[in-house]
Amino acid sequence: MPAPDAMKADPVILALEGRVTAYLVGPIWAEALETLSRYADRPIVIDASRLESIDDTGIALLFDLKSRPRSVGAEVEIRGLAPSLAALIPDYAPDDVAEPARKWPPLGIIERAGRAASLQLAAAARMLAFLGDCAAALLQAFHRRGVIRWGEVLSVAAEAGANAVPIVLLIGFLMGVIIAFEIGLVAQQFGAVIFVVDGVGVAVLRELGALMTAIVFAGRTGAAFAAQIGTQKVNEEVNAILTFGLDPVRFLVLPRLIAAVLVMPLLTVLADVVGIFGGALVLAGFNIGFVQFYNHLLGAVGIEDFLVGVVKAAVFGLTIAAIGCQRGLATGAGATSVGLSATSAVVTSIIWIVVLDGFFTVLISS
Amino acid sequence: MERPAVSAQAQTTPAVSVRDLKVGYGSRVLLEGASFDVQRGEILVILGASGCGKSSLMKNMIGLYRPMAGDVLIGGESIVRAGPTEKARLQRGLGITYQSGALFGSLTVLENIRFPLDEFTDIGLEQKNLIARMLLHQVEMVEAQSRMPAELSGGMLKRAGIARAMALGAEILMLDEPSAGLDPITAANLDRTILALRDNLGLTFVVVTHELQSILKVADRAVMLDATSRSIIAEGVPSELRDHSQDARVRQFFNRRPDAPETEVRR
Repeated sequence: MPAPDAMKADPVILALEGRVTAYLVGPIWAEALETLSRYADRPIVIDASRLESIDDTGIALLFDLKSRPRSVGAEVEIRGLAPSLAALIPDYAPDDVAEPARKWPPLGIIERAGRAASLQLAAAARMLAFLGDCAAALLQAFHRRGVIRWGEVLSVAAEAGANAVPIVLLIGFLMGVIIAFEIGLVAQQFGAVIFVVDGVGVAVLRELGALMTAIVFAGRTGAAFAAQIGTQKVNEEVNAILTFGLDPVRFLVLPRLIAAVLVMPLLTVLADVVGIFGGALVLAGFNIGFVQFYNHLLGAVGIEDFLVGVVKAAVFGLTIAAIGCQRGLATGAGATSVGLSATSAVVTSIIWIVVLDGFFTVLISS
Repeated sequence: MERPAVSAQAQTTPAVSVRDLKVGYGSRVLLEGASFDVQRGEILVILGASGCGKSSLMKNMIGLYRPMAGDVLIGGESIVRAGPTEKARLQRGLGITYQSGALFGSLTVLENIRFPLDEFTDIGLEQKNLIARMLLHQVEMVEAQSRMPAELSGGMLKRAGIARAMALGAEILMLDEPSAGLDPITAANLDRTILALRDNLGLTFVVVTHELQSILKVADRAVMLDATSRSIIAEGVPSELRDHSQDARVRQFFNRRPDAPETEVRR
């Protein structure tokens, strides 16, 4: 431990004893620096004669103390250091291990806004180019047999569709229950509970069935697409496909797009059925029997309501898969990039789902 | 903060002792009856053909996997029988590098080196940065301190991994395939770094590799594993193993002859 002793001699003596290791060096270093700054005008002698051993942190301590700029006559001198330990202290200049100077000055708000805007424009251009590639691959698939790898499509469909059934059933059911209960409580005050059937039917079939399924699909499958393709990009599998003269869009993207367009409507139908069943279950508590619910529902909604939901689901599926795959292919290097791609895929998908839903609503209403 | 036991042990205790170790996964045995010591300040190389269980042996030695039987002593203390707290203490006394470097992708190179110091010491930030930069200087990586791991080459990742493994002043460094996939110059630099660290700091090295040039250059002693017999088939000074081993498999390995050693291979 350092023991500043300024009383006995003109130079200030700092004694280092025993072992100086990573686990012990913190307070020693702090005390030594404090001594150096307190006696800025006096020479400092570090008495290392009783120092037994040091590790890399002890070496750094001695290097730091020795290299600190001091005024003339107030230098730091290390005395009594065993030759085997002295040999460990590097003789390079402190600048060799100095903090690097910042290369670029920090950007102002206008530059940052400009940079963000240009990045967004570039991302939009990349997305458009990617959609163009997808369209070209799909067109090729219609004209030539063997372009679509159906085995891969089935495998993706099973993972994205069949394995998602339990969670879609749960979310769909709870959604129907919640809507029926919330509207039912209000409608009860006006003696209009029967019209809750209309509300549940229209809301689930036209909007919520597709919307909630799409959100689950984005979180579950969109993220998985981005992470899978992103990992393949990081592992250079995408490069291997390219250097075989093959198109990554056809190999990696097309099966996922087709699988998503196929399974999203099916999952939405399931969500519709259990959602309406959940609503019927709740309304049974409001004295609306299952038969009465069924008969009223037939009058309240038509096939077009069901079809609107299913078509939306297919478009949502296409959107989520395209965004997931594009984010995967745009992954940079390293594990962090894969995580960022997956997150970005989910966030972007959900934003686009809501935007497209609004677009559908306006289009259909007008 | 408590100092790991490895450095508190008497200097006569071997740094690492492997005792009748049986290594494998599930019912598949890769290696059995493995016993050897690593002395302090020694560079021991574990070598053998691909798939013979070199990396698995190392993972058992550092307590990542539990061996099927046998024991591993770090500075005289069993890492196999140690409880979670004791095991963590023993592991902190080891500097370990992995095949890929295993740097944390979300941290810069400097932050990666500083990470163990941030977690386990109360050294000031400026001082930790100095220690990290000096370690990076030692592995000739100081220029790359602000870069992210994704921006580094394979050799740079491995060298940064070694710097991180040394940050807490570990006296035993375990390196898994440090020079695999590196160009000859970078691999030679890495060998030079290992020798310098052993000579200057008295560190102990256990190096898993099958790079012949590296083995012959750095190893004081080598332990050779064999996939077929699932055992250690040779132990000794690498150059003597190469020149004087009675075991045909050892001579095949050192002389890069895939066929029987009696048969001359035309190249």
